Amino acid sequence: MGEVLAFWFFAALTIGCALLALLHRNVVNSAFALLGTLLGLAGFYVLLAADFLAMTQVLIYAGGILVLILFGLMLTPPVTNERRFGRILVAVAVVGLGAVAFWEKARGAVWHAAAREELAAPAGTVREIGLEFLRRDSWLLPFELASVVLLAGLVGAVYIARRRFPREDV
Amino acid sequence: MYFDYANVLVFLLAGMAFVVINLVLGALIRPTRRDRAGLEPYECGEDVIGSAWFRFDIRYYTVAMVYLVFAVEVAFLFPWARVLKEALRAEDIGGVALLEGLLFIAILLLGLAYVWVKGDLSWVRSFRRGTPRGHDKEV
Repeated sequence: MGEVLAFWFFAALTIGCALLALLHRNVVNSAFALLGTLLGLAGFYVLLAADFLAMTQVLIYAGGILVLILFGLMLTPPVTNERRFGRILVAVAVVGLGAVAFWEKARGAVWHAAAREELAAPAGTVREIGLEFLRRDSWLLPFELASVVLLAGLVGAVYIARRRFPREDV
Repeated sequence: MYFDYANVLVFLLAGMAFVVINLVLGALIRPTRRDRAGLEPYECGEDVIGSAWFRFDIRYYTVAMVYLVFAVEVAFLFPWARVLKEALRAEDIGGVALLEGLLFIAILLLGLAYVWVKGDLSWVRSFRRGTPRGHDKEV
């Protein structure tokens, strides 16, 4: 029962904030509304017993990506009172395409949490993932490689951002 | 397992309650004098010129990207930290576990050293032409 309530709460939060992000005239407010959507998705991950994914969602999407979006907005010239029609059209197109793409899957899906026994069993995934990271024949090397990839991403991104553009102010 | 999230919920509710209670308390206690100066963003400081929304410096973005990379690092280290104590007790993989995590952090520290040395983290820097990058004199 609690899960059902939580599901509807997160569903309302996700869709409501997504609509707000879509319909708001101010892009900055849209970005803040996106926070609710991303947190709602994290709630769904919790309900699906994917706690590592939920943690990552909060940390990276609600934390990092959103900051990046906001800073990206700060870098662009201010846009207010933008026409909403185009955005709505794009949203309808994306949702429609998604619905078409997943129609077969969705039709075959069992919507009433038939897998509940499976979901109730695991006591979180973080420990298993951590143990897999430690095993030499498993994910140890990819784990280390991830840091190299992150390093390359960091250096590359900073290098590109550092190129000087003609500055207009101060 | 949902019980584990009770503390998350408590944190969330406590955080929200803190904000709401303080706002309500402030509204009840504070005097309401609506004069022009009191409604300005900087009540006793500079006069505001123009909108707060102008094109900010690209360095904000650089800092945000550095932050994002280290957030991803934390996401990777989180499961590792979760089992580290357990692994250290297990003896056979304890050393590997510790070295693995330290190497992971060390590799990313190279990235931090890079942006630090190149001066991307220092806020005040000159933009004079001719000075080699990263060796700008701080003003």
